[in-house]
Amino acid sequence: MKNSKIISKALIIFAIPVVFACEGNDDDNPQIENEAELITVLNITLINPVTNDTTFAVFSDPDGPGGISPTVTPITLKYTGENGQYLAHVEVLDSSNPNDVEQINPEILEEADMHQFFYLPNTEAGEVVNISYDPQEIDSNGNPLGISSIWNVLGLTNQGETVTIVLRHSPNKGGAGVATGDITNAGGETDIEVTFQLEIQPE
Amino acid sequence: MKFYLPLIGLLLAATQISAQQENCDIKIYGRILDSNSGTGLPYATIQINGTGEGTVADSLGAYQLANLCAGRITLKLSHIGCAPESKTFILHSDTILNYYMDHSDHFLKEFEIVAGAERISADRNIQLSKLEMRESTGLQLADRMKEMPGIRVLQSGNTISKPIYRGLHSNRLLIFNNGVRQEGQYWGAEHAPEIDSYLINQVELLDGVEGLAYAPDAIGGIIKIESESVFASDSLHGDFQSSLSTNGRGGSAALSLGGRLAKKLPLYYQFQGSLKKLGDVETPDVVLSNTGTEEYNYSYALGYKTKNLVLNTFYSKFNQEVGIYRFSHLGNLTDLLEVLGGGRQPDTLDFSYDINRPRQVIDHELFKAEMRLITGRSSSLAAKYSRQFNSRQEFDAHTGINPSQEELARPQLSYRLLTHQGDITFSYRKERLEGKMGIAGIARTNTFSGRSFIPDYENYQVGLFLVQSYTLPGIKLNAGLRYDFYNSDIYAPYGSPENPINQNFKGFAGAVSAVQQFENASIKYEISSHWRAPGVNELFSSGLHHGVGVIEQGDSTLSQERSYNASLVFVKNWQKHQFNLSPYLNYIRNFIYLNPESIELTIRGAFPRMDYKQANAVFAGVDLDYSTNFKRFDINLAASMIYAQNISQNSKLNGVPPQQFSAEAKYNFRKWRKIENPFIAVKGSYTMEQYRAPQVLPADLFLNQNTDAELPSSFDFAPAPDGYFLLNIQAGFAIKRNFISLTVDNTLNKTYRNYLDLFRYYADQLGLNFTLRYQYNF
Repeated sequence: MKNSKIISKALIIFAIPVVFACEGNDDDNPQIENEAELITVLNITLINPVTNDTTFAVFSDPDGPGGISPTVTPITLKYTGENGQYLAHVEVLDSSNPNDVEQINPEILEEADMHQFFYLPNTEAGEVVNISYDPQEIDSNGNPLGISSIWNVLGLTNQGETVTIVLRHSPNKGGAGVATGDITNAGGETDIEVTFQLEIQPE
Repeated sequence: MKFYLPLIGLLLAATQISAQQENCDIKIYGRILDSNSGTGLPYATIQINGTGEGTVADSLGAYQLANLCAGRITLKLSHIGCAPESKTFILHSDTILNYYMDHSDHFLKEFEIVAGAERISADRNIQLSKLEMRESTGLQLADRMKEMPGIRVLQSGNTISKPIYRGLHSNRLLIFNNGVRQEGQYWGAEHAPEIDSYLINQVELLDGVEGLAYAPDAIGGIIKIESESVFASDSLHGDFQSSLSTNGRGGSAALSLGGRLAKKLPLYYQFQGSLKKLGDVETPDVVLSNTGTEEYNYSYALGYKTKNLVLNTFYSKFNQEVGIYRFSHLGNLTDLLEVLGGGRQPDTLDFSYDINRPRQVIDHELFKAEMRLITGRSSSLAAKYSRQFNSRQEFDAHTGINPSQEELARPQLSYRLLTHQGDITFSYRKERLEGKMGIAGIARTNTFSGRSFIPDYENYQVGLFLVQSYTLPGIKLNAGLRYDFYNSDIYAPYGSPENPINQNFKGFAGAVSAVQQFENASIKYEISSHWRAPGVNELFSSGLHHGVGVIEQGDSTLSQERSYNASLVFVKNWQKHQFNLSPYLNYIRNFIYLNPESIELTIRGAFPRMDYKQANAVFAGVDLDYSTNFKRFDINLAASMIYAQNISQNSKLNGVPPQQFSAEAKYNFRKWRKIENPFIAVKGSYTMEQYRAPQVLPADLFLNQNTDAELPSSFDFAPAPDGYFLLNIQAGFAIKRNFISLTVDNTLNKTYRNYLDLFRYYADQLGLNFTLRYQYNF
């Protein structure tokens, strides 16, 4: 029976690693952490203060990448025959939870020096519209942020005109041309890149 | 397989010199010889029982043990394909001891084989030799394994790597760490196996028949890793190992201690711990920002051993924090296009030890308890239980807009996997028949949260297996069969704990092989079939994969993958020459891969959408190896060639290893004073461009948002990198129990990119690197 005594002693010592081996969590239903912040909607509102023409375009993808395809509506402006000017304002939302649609704009404003919007007309659109930053809207370093912009309408669209709106995170705001809206030297990471059809119709 | 090892001749030509008390300057030397041919058998391991000290015979079978004390000594000899053999005698003075080993008789192996670099018999698993292990200290598992034929390294940047065997990896190439299936590495190519490199004492690739005792889903194979046996020695023993590298400006160190706890009790222990700290690594031109690594790991084991009962428990903890190259995380395809065009250069080039975002924090914990009961003269019963916990947290570069402290502390992706495994195996041997049978089970609880939107789930798997071998004169036959049932319950967001989505898969796996042994040659023929249930990521993933810039979509209707594998191993020895040829053909029915489906618009622009699909695929190739020696030179030539194709679509596959050729020359210097085994080795390897890479579709195509564009069934964003030639130099020697070596990697400081690096779009490979290794055994 001496043998069994030895075995029982051994078993006690064997239990030691078990005591230590409990770092992992056996919880079958660990709490599901909140989803990372998602940008699902970009709205752009354009107002011509002279004619009071107001227009609105939206890119909306509430279920995020994949799944159901996003909805995109065109930007429709009016051309009076002489150069007109629209004041534009973008709004960014997280609508992934329809009961709690979250405004992202305030957060962008708070980190204004880390963000910049770019407005990129394609070649065709470049002939009929000229987009510049609202000079009133600057970050703490005096650089543009680009939530607000000024669209000068120069003519009528034909076909295939588009404007791409880009939001860059941590861009090099001091890069050549970046302050005037040229994205070439901006670097950083793309948060948003949305292309809208542009339609400029006679009034 | 075990060579029955009668010592046909034991030559004890002892020269009697006056035996002094406490004389500790005695040598034993001699050769290990084949009793049939009388030729030397290279790379046997000779160890002294009780001290753990030992040596490896050279390529001619010659060995030498120095600085031994007079008295009773037990030598343990082990060789490829042979069971360890012990010899006890009284040592008086310098002794020549020649061992004759019999290579004519074959049995399935009963004991684990210890070492060996070259393949003498075709019926042997590919292993790393002790020397190769020693010369790769501190490297990750995959980098340590790259000397093994057929093994290539899959990288996610320069600091994360995992092995590829014959073109397959991750969930098709299983890793068994101390007898326990390593779980965390299945979830993606960028998940390296969570194993402390210093814990690895032995690495081997299992063959198809033997692998059936482990798993049914080894479509690409099984890598078996063992740490040192807790029963290695009665006396206090251990080692200190360290490695310092110039590239990364850091290193690692490990200490291991083992012995017997009490004289009266047959109770053994082993403790081990390691630390690692490396800063940013460098290409020939730039410092790769945020590529540091930090690790601390520890393990301990207890063992109890009597004549009829072996008990042991093992616990290990792995903790790693690794930085991901800052400029590999991109917002969208415009960013990728700019990087590929060379237009976006990192703005910080300063070296740093800091690990910032993006980074991964990885924990792995393993507890194992094992019992082996000797039930008869040639039978035993073994039972094993293990519990494994994986935690992986990924912190992205981009934290969202204006994050709160709470948001910053929260990983963008978090996996937690808890796995219980258990098995019972009965092994037996009766005359020419040998085998084992058993039952094995796994239960997993996995929770995911964060960006990639994989559901929570639980699954279990139960399997029954039978492995047999039968030895006839000149030929050995092996066969195995296994049946498994796999059940899984999918929870949120697709199902719920009350109403889960239930899926189950079942099937047989089997293998047969035959080994023919000739006088100076050996051939092994093997055919096997395995099956694998589709992974949860393949079934349910949905979302944007940031690292690779594609939207991945799972398919819940996928069926199981089935492989049909035929392989041959041919080994020929003549005089000093040894030649290995290993062709293989792996046909995989319902091979699961990502198929480009459409161009999909998101708020970050357009991305290719890739759906998990199934097709029939083939992986065929050959591994070649030739070695010889003349005078003090050892020469080795090796080649690894692989062809892979999606047969159903008749298209190329992504990520297939390009052809690789290498040549190594090693010069063994004469022993000089106390400096033993001094050597210098030069190795050149040439990796070709992957000329069968899928066609290139530039990112512009997707940016133009032409969502109607037809996509081919495979493509890449950039052409495969050019071929490259690398030169490595290594030198080393031993003084008593100290081993010192210096390795120079990428000696020519060549700038190149590696097709098998998932970050090949973003960064070059490492430049010149000096690594100094020191090891002390006691």
